Amino acid sequence: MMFAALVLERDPLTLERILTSGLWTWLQIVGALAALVVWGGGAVKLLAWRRRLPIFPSDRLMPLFWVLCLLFTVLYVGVGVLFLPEVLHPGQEPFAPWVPDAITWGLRAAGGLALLAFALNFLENLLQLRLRRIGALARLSFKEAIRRRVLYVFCGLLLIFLFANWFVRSKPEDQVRSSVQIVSFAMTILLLVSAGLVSAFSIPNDIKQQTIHTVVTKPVERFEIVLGRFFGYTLLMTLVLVILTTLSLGFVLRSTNPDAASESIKARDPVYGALSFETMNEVGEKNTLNPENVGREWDYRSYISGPTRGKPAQYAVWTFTDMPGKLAERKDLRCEFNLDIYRTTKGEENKGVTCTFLFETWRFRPRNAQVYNSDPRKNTPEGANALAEEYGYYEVGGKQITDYKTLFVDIPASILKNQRISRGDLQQVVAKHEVTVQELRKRAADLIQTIEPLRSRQAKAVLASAGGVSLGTSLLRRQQATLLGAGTGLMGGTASLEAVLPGIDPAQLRLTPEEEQGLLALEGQLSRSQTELYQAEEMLRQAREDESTLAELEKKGQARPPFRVRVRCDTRTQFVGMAKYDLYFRADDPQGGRDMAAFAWNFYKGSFGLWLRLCLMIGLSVFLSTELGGVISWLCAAVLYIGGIFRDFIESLARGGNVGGGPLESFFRLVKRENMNIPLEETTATKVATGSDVVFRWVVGRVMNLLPDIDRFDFTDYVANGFNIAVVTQDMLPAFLLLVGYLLPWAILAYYLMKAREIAGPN
Amino acid sequence: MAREVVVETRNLTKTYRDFWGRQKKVALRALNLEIYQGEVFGLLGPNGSGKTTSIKLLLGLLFPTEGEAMVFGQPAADVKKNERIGYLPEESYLYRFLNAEETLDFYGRLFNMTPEVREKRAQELIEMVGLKRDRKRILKEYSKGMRQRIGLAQALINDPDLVILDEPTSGLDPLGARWMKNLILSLKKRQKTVLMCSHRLEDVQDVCDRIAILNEGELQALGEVSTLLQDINRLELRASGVQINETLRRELEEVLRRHGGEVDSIGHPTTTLEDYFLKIVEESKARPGRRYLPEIPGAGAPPTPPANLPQDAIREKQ
Repeated sequence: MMFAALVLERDPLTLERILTSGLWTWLQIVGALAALVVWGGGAVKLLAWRRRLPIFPSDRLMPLFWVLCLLFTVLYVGVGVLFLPEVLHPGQEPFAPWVPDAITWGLRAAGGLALLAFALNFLENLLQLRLRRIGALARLSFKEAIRRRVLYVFCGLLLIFLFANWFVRSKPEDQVRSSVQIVSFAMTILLLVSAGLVSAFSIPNDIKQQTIHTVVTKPVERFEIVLGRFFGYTLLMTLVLVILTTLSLGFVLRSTNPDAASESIKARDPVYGALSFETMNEVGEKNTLNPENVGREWDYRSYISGPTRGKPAQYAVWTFTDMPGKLAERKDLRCEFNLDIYRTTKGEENKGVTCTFLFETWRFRPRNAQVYNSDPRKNTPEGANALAEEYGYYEVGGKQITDYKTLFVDIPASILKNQRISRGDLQQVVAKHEVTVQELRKRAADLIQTIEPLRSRQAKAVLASAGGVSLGTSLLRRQQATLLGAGTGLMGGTASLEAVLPGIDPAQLRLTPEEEQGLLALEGQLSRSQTELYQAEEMLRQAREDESTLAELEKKGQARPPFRVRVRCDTRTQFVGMAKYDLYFRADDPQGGRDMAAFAWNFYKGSFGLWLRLCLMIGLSVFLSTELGGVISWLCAAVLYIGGIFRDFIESLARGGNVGGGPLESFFRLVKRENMNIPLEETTATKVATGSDVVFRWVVGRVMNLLPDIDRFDFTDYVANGFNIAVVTQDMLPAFLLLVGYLLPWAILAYYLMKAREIAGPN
Repeated sequence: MAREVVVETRNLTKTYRDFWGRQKKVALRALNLEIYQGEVFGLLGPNGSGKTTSIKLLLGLLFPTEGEAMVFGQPAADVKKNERIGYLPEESYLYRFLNAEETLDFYGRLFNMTPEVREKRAQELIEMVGLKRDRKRILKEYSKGMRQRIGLAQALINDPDLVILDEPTSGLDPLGARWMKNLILSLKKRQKTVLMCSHRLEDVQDVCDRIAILNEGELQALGEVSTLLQDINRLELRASGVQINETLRRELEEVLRRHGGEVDSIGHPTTTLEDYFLKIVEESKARPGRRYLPEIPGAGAPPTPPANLPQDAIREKQ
């Protein structure tokens, strides 16, 4: 499905996640399955001790095998005992605080031991495998497929290239998206079906035609045949995939319109933040906001409304904790977004929905926004850069939003320097501000010293002529006192001033017009100096605060507070919808001029996803065919694959997340014509129905563990929407490890099945 | 000095079962055999007697239901023993999309041979089995005999100590069959052990030192061919330089009667059809254009051979 934007309903897979929580989960699930197989094998051995069971290792390792079996059985029993209270009284607090941890670690340890016991024979035999033999069998598979002209089916793809335009009707900006999606879909279907068929029939045909007899009677481990077939077909499919990807790339790029190119012909390297919502009133008080639900069935996006009278403004806030440092060295930083508009009125003619984007670092104080906005420097690029670095703030107001189109704003990259400032630099800033404050204070004092005699004369003249102290002079004195501090001598001077007044001619004291002009100018300078001093003192105070905050964080070993983007809808009666991945910063250089090359490379990386799915299909087909016939193997592999596509739905079934309950409860509602959302009346029948659904959910949950997570191996949307596919930390390597983790237990199973299989029949 | 036991079966039994584990057929029942190094051993028996099952059990293609099979002192299921074994299946089930060179290269790789050794060995074997001219043709285009030859080449790629041949002469013409028998004898000369099973009893008789006869999965006879075939109730006398006549017949009958025997038949021996066939083919090779034309009673001069035939391509009466 195409959403005209990259939609990520799940967080991308990261290497860190795979190597931590992913690995533990894998160990628990695979270990539990391994334990079931070993226990099953033990039971069969007890009932029919003569039966050949390949899971038992050689006599040399048999004691170790039994020790492992004993250990994991004891651990599973122990975990079961600890878990029993939860089963009997769900939701009850554990009887000791260490129980949850003990269960988790018990399951992990038991899983690991069970897996080791299960794989002991496999591991023992692994050393016997020889690459030359596997290579020979892989070459054989490759040659077989080439010479039997299996590859001719791929010519079918050419037809799609020739006639695809007949079926594609898309908006200009969606042209590349559509092409990529069609090509990817066609390649996926064609290659997966072919790969599945070729590999599912390979070993069964070898057995049926008895060609395998001349192979297994050589010093060949049977698992080498399985691996040879797997690698041979993988090599073949890799070659086909590279050729078809190149052809597809030509098809996609053959004629792209500029709109589509600006949307998709690139490989954006996005930096994502976490999304939250908040309100802020006029005095800057913030509160958490529960975002609006506009009633759309697909609840991927949450919405904020435009300004509403009497209500605080709503903000969507993206928090970026790990902005790459290299971005600070750039001139501009591009923030791209793709927001959804939900209109409740037609709005004004020729005026779209507008939003304000506020970019803030942790060092920004809301009260500085006014200072920032009044600073004339913000109107020039250099000035804006300097201000962004100084205040950690940048504002883009009145940005018009268009539906289904990727928009962007370029902000001064120096804002990140403010965000990433080191403690040393911050200390330097403090020192700089201290010097500035000192200088400004000195300047103000000098000015006052210059102004004071003139004012004194002026005041005396006024008093002499009026015979008393005017209110204005009094205020002036007070102001001076505030500026220089009480007790500096000025207030004391007031008394002496009054004492000397009698007997002086006011005309002698009065300032000349030049002197008055000079005084005015000096007072103006003093006023500016006072403002600057105030601001400098404020900056010094903030810098000191920041420095102490940073020192505190460093002491605790915590990261500095994140960088935030706050978005507000400025159009009344309209809503703007957003999801976490709808706004991001470009870590790549958007003006680097390498968009086409980056897209082409990304296109090949996108094919890696299909390559992983091909490996999955080939692996499943070959591994299953060690026991099953060709057709059945292919069908089983296809069922597992298709089940993997609907894994999310199956998971929701297993967790009881679907509306209307499990199959029996749903059936009950259907028969009784009960509404899906109303709780069922508690009767024996409903209890039986809901109870059976619990069992059903448990079974579905176990079945789900057998299904591959196909969605993780599909990068088409990244390519179609022009997003870079990461290689190591995210996307490619994690997906590869995920595939290895999925196929490995199947491979071990195939090893045992092949070992236990009688290659020849009665005839 | 006791000879090394290459193959040994103890109480070897194989029962085929269906999906539900129900017994379908006992293919082999308690077979006890020993095959020694350097001998040619023949397994004989009618169809379904358990010959091929025995071979498959020895090769680890099937697993015994009871008993055990040892080859070179190792269990039959052990892969390592295969390093010293060469196997030619009944039908030469090879990959038909490969040519002869590729086939031998493939099997050489399975023995973990280096490229140089593989190439040298492949060329030797291709020459030995007479497929030098056809080495680049894919096996799909080969005749059955040619496939049998390349099948033998793959069985010998590792210069095995034990060669297991399942119906080695099936599909071969008499020339090919003779060539195969000579090869088996040459293997024997090199102290290789050969285990073969065949329906063609004359082949077995020609090359085997010992045989075992199976029927319905049970061992019926086991021993040296010469001993097993010896008929001690009969006497054979062969002489040369004399033709049979009445006087000689009477005198011979008289001598035998005195010793308590009697003449069954006296006459000139005939050669085997195989020898006769080979003689004809050899002559044909030596004289190209030679052909058989039947003698027509009352016909005059024989028809003139075509002008392009050599002068010695004349009508001959056989």
